[in-house]
Amino acid sequence: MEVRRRDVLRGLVGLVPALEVMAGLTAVTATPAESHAAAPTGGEPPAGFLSAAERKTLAALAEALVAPGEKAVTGLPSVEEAGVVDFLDHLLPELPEEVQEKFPLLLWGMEHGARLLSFTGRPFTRLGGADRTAFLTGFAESRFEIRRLAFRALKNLVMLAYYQADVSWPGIGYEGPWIGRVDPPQVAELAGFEPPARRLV
Amino acid sequence: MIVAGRTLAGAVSWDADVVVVGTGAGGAPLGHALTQAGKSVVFLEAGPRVLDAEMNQRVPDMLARLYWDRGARVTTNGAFTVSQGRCVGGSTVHYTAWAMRPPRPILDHWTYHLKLTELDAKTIDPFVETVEKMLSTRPVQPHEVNAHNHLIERGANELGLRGGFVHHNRVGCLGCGYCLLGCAYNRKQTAANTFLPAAIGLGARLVSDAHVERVLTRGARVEGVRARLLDGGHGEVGTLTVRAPVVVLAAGTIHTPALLVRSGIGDASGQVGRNLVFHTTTTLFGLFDEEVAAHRGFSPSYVVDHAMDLERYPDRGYYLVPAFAAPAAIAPFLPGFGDDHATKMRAYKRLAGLSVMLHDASRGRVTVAPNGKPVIEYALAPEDRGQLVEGMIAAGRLLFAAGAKEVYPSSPGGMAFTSPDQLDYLTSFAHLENRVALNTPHPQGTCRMGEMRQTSVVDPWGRSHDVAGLYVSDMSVFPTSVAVPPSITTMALALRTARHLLATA
Repeated sequence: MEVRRRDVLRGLVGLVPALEVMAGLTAVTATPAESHAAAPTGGEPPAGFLSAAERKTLAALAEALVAPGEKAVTGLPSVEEAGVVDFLDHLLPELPEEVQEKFPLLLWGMEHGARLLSFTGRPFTRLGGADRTAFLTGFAESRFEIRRLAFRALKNLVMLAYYQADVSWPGIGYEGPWIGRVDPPQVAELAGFEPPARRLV
Repeated sequence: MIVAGRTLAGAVSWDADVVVVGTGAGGAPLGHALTQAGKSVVFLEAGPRVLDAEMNQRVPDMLARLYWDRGARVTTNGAFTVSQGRCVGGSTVHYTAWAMRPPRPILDHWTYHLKLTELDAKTIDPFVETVEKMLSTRPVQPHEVNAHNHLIERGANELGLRGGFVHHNRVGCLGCGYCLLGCAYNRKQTAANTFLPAAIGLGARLVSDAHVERVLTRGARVEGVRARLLDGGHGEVGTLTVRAPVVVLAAGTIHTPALLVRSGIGDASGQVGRNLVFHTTTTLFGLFDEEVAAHRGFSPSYVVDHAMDLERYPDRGYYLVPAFAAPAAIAPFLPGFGDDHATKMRAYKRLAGLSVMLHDASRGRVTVAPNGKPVIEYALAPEDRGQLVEGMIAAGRLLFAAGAKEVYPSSPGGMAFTSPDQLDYLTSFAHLENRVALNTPHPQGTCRMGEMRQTSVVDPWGRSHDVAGLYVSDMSVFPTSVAVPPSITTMALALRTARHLLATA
């Protein structure tokens, strides 16, 4: 595929409104749309929002951004185990229309922009680890605000998707929410706290 | 009576003495005071009613339930996230419950410099006391201070920076640490478990999932409001018209001006949506050898205010405020990516967060897009950029003084400081927008009050200069940044507006 630098930059500029929203997405709904298929159990990916090629690009980007390493060494699950792509695939239909429209373009820009910006001629999914890191660093530390914004948008979404997953918590020492795990009213009783007199509306 | 919008399908029409748009810090106290006085009050809330049992302490779920735009509301330059509540109780449901009175120098500035009537401390204090009593405001107790806040105290003492323990609005806090995701245990005192149930108990009606589209007028007088009734998702089930001779807009600094613009009223001065001011906030993280567990307990309980000298500088300064959260809310803000980022996350329990919260002098604007949604423009003025950098450097030094081995700003790319002298690198940033993560929890000032109708939207009691029967009661009326967390001030001014309304309407 022939990709020109001009096309990549023009594409990124066109993404700005959607990138702004994505960059703000430090937290978003985890509630999947009911129409979406279940998580993959192997074989073909589910018929979700993203195409198979887009899922592949997103998975590669997420692996590079999160870099969980070997679970036996780091304690962190893989991006696939954490369900990052599925989470985002379910989330996208819940987001504003401009994001739904532009997110595939962002993935396309990252996949094929790598052909030019990594100076390897290869798409992102076919880059080696060091080249992937160098390519993403170029975005993160770019003097062009649009590239930094694109990086923030991707990073925020991927980090949210990975670290909201329960399976990522043991590796970082986070015990998880109290709800369903400990019984705080008992703690309160032991501590001698009085329950509040007023109730929520 | 409390009902969800979806239970009122079709075209519904109600009558009331007063309709209050918004149920947060501005709407709830005012509606309660009017109900106490015997008025028939209807509250309309765009967001859902979220019960204790629904607060599941999970970041994605709760931000979707409690915040506008799932916590992802951003300015047009993509640089600032604007955190605002969209649920019964408004932003008070997810606030940190850090309670501060309106600073006397700010009230003096408003009264004597800006010539606003009866806003001096002597006039405001009784309202503040009423609010504090309702919210059970009290000083933080020694056993409530977690290791995170003790670290910050230690660093401040080491550097000789002034700081202190705060007041807060909690009763029997369990220390779970999920204040920003709503209190699952009903310990945090908010509009939703104080003023609103009291008002409902006296006969007020509240409709959740009711998004007000327009204020209805006849000539130069309000007649009521019309709301879309939402089904709890993206759908709409009908409309609710509330006819009332008094309309109080308490929809917040972003939505109140948007509602005025959509209704085509109240803007003879051309000031609606202007004078937007933030408390711009950015967070630095310190990596410690020992476990901090900053995600447990509540923050802030200790705050550094050495840079606040409001007597001399009523329009500048910043606080250093301990801040932390669950991993999904922290990971996007830790710098870098890849192995570097994963290493930092594996040290999650050894991290401490310290936010710089600015008392901004910058001015932005809220306008309305063709689809009716608010558009927020904001950029840091040079003096605020300088202040924020100064604050970031101070925060970094404090973290080092407290024992941090490394300090990280919330930059998208990798950045780490290993000694205090490296922090001066931050002064090389020409712009902070999209270099570090910026947020505001306290947008203020888009319908500012004033004596002169040519330069303000409402009078000093929140009454519209242009439309009879129309009032504004939220942070949008502030003529400048109030410099401190605004909930107590907003509530106190709401009670003051209520008293004025009862005396004159």
